[in-house]
Amino acid sequence: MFILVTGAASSGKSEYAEDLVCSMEAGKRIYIATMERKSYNLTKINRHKSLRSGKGFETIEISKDLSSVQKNRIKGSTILLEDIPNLLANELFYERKSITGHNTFISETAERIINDILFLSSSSKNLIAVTGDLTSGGYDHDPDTLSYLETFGFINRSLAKASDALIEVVCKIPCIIKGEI
Amino acid sequence: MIFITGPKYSGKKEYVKELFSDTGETYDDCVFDAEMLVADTMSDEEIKILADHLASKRAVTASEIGSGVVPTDKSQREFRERAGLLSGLLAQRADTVIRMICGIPQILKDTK
Repeated sequence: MFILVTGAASSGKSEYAEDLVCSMEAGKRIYIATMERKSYNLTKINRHKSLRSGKGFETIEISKDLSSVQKNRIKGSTILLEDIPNLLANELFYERKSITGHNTFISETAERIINDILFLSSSSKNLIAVTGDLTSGGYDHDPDTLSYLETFGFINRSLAKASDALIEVVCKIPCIIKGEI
Repeated sequence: MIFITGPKYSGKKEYVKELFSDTGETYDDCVFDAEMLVADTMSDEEIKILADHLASKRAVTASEIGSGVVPTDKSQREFRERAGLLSGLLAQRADTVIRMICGIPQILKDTK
């Protein structure tokens, strides 16, 4: 089963996604963390870590190129992937400071990310992927950010289409937009 | 009129195309990205007249742009106020209101 979880910042997406994983039948639980271990991220990383503690997750820290996760490591498991906004930022801005005008690079990166996530889904038993709503904040952004947001929208639409369920978490309340849980 | 709201890049226009591919309708009577019509200065009264005009269309889409941080730029700040006002007026006038989330439609209002 492939479930996509969206919602605003701090709406309770992660907590909900973790509960969802824990409500599923027992089996190997893998947490794929895409956030880079940088000083300004540590508070959030530690908060998520304490939320997960005692829930039996094996953690894979990988900031980009999810296809390098070994297939036999995730076979039969339930994966919690957190999160797509970070993954996309890491993939787009790892080597380049600016992506404006690099349209082939952008579209190829987007396709690769979608394929990587679908690879995780098909190689595991369940995949719960956390994304977010970043595109309700208007047009007041630099060209790089607008390119990032457009690509992000494309990835979200593609993943939601491929998903079995799409859940939007609003103020910690899960709303089913597609499918059944 | 069908009003489609939702974040930018959430698949609003694609949804209209999908909807009309079944009925064979063209997009001649549709307005996409209606928020851009109030990008320049417009009074509340003018926005109301615009909403009345758009109410006679077959389908109208407008992006939700009012979430996120309040822009420091005055014109951007006023733009999102006008866009929010327009969306509310369009939703009032619409028979059907759809909100797109990651390309998936959610029905908010359906009076037909």
